[in-house]
Amino acid sequence: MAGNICIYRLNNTGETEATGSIEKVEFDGNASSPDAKSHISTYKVTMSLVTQENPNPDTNNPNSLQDTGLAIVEYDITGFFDSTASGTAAAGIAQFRDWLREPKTLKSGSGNLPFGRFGIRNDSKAQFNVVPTSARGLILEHFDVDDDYEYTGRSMFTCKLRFNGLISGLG
Amino acid sequence: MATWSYEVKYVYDNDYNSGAGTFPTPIDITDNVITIENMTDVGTGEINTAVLQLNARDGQFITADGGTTPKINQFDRIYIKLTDKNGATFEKIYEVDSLEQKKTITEGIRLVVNLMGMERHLQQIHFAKQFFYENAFNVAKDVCDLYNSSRGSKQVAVDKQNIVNSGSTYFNELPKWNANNFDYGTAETYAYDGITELVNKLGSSVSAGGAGDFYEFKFIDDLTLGSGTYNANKIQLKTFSSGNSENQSSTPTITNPTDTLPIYSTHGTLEDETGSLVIAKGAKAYGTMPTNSSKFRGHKDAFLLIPDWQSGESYPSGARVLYTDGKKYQANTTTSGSWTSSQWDEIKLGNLVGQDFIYSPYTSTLTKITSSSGSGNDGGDGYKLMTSSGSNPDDTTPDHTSGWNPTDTISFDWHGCWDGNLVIKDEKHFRTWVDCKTTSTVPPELKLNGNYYRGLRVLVNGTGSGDFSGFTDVIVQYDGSQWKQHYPYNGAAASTMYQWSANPSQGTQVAVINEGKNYVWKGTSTGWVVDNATYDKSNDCFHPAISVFSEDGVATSLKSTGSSTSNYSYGKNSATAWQYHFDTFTAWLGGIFTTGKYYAVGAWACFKFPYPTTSDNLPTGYTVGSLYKNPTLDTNNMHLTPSGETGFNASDTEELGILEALSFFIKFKYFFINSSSNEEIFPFKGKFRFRATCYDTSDNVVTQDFEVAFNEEWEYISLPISGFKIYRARAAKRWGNVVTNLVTPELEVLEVFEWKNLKMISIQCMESYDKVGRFAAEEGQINNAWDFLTPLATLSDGFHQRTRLSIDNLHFTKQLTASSGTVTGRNIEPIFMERPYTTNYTQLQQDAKSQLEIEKFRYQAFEIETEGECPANLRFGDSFFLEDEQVVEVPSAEQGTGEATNKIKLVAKKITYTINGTDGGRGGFVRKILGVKRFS
Repeated sequence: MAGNICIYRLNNTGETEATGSIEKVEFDGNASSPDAKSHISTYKVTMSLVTQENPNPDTNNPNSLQDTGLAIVEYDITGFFDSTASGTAAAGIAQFRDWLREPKTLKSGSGNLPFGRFGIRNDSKAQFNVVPTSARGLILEHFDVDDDYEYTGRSMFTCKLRFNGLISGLG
Repeated sequence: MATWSYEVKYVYDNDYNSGAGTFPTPIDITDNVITIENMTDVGTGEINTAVLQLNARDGQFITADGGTTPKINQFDRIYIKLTDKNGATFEKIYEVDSLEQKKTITEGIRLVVNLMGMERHLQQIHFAKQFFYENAFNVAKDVCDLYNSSRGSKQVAVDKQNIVNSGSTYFNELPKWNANNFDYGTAETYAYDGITELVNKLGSSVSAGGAGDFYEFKFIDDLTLGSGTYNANKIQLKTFSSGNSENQSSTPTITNPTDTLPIYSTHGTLEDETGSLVIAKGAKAYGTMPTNSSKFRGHKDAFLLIPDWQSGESYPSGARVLYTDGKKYQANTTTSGSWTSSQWDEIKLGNLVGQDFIYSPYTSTLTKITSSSGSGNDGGDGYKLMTSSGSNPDDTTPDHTSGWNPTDTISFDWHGCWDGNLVIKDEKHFRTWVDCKTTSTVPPELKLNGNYYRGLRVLVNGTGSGDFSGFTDVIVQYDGSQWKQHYPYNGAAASTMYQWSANPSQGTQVAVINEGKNYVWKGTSTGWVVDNATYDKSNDCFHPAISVFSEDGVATSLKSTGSSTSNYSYGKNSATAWQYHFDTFTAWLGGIFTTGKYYAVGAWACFKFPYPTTSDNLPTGYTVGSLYKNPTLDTNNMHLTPSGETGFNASDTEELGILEALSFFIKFKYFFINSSSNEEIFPFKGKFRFRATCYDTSDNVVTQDFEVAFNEEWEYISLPISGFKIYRARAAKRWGNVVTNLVTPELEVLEVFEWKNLKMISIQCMESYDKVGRFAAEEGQINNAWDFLTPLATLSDGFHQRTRLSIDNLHFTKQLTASSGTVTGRNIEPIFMERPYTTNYTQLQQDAKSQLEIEKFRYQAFEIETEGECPANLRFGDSFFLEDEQVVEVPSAEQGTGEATNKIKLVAKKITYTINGTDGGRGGFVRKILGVKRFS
């Protein structure tokens, strides 16, 4: 393993982070892919129901809530790309750019990762690790970069991923 | 996870595109369901629906035909099953009605499948069959059978329609003892609509042929749950009393608040009454004015078609049956399943029609029940109604035949008829008519309630005084408020009229109806002179009858009721007969002489508005206008009722409706007295030419010819109003007009008949008229001397011929109209019911009264949204209680069993289930019930 946290993208079901050809962005630790400039500030996982709220007039009981099941598993990651030392741009920015503009899922017959081709590994929060398969996966939903020129060379970023598919594959 | 669940399966492939056949092994597509919305449990006029939203990622269900995500196409079937937290289930098979493919940035690719219940197939197939007084059970069964015979193999069959129950499961609970007409045979009807109409009719009273109850129907899928293949391809009919289905085990109560069933919202509606007076419009040409004719026909149909008694059926009070003894009975209580005579009263036609009913009020006065009954009228004076419209209505001797010999005269003062030539506008020949002549006083017999009426016409034969002051020798007409000069035109002086003295052949004539004589204008110095015997044919438009009397009409049904026996039929003395005597020599010599006998060659009948027209010699209880009060008849017949009322809240509103034809039964007898002193019809005679003539108040005339095919046979004649053609009478065929009459040039007919002002109608035999319509007794087939070449003829009778023209059931045909009655307090008239295929008055009236019950009932409904539950005892048509202290109030006087001040009993008219788990708003498994207070 390289780096403490890794977000990666598979090309075919059955692959893993360790598969040679896959693309990944490693953060912190001994990160080397695509370079050693990616760092995590916060790592937030949200699991929530979309509450079905039904009012109950004429009672002091709170509104009725129905257990309609887990609705959202979302990864909200912030960090920065640090080019201060080298003076050259961090490759992770281009990686996320490419991932967002390319297919986030692969149909059966062309990769068979219909629920998302992204995976995540966090060595300190392995409960939320995901390896994409034909039954589950992550979808890269959001990425933004916020350069603050007071700290030239550091690019703040926010990245969001959503879990999709069989929840039993979480962790 | 949720305490409830759902299951969605693809169970029918209309296109076989999965390769698994029409009914593939059901494919579970539950995991691809995003929402199930508006999944309904309805019936009685509404088809079940559901909207399924599927995740169509990568085009599954749309373009990609995967094994677990089949391509969904038209008519494919989807099975949906809901299971609530209590384990209760609601399941149904739906058919694809339409598909919506969606690809949006917010939702991705989705397939919205709009589904309809399998009963939709009954809305795709027509049937046509008429049911006459059939019970509801059989009609529902037949409609389903007819559907089954027309359906294709890919459409569901209806099952269980022919059984009431199988064990404790009930199916067709419609009554077997009621009797309604259904005119499905006159137009194609969807099978579903046929059953809807059926249950709608059942609300009318039992005695009116309904069930006195309101019913629901729905269709349940035959799910063949044992195999789980859902391939039965059948639906089962369930019909039941609204809110009282035998299949409902108990009546649940929904109360608020409660911890076990959260109520999310309650919306109540309490509407005002929507109607207190219902008018129904039925089939065109099946109604009549007067309505007596159509009512009689309707009641008689209803009586004749009373259904057979069904062993084992319990009938409610008022139900009518034909028992095995061939007699008809009406239940006087709720009956047992076996025949118990004390529970039934025998009924006869009189029980339905009424013993005093007169089907031909224009010709009949019959109210007596039997010849021996002390009260009532035996109808013997009914002829006086028609004679009031004819000439000399004040002739009080109905029969002049007593002691009359062929050599005797026929007086111009006898009662008689005017014909179709009252008005002549033939170049310089002019004739018009008046009701009477006077210079000062109109005979009171001619007034309507003592007053003049619009259209009353008078010849002021001299210098007028009093009401006629200012008029001299002119013809005046009352316009409703004053007398106005009608002729000569434009207020011209009388001197402008053509004078007899100047040209005997062209003297202006006036036919004075109440005298039966023509008057001719002889110039200002002489004035008007009676002209009836002045010249030959000078009285050609009046025809004295030797006898007028009432005779039996066409109806032969006795007026008996269950409790009394009548020896009088409804047709007793119903017809008015006009008899005329003449002989061949009279006809021939009539060319020279001007005797009354000459004008009696032929046969006539006539009537006039108002009706009766004069009070001379009327039957007891009748007066001018008592049968038709308005001075003219408007064939649009929507403004004034016969009693002069307007609007639709009148006692005789049912008389309204556009008139379409003049109709009557007619019998013409051409006969002589044989050697045995009996009436003998002339042999080999028939196809008698007849004509009906109508006059308006502007002296426009229209005629329509018809034929009476047989000698002395009742025939029904119906003359469409549209079939009358403008007619201009020729100058009389008199010697004085000989030059004019040598050649009869074609007339230019420019008049437009004012059908809103129809004043008079005559019916005449045309055998004594020439081809251009002039009276010519010497022509035609009824005065032929060769007719006497029969050994039966007797010289003692002087070889004179007789005719008798009988008219019965005189009426106008119109659109059938029925009213629920009249109201006084608050008249709320809903939109008129349109029943264009209902031909029977009784049935139409049942419909109107049934609709009135609906309109009078205050619609009270509650829409209750609760957490999703689908218990077996609360399905469409089931009853339930709603209890709520804030929004429910039931007045104590209106509380039924189980109800309380804040507890109302409702019938579930629509239950809607929705499953929506992802939109973040109100959702989950939600049930919405539309509960409506039951008709009571």
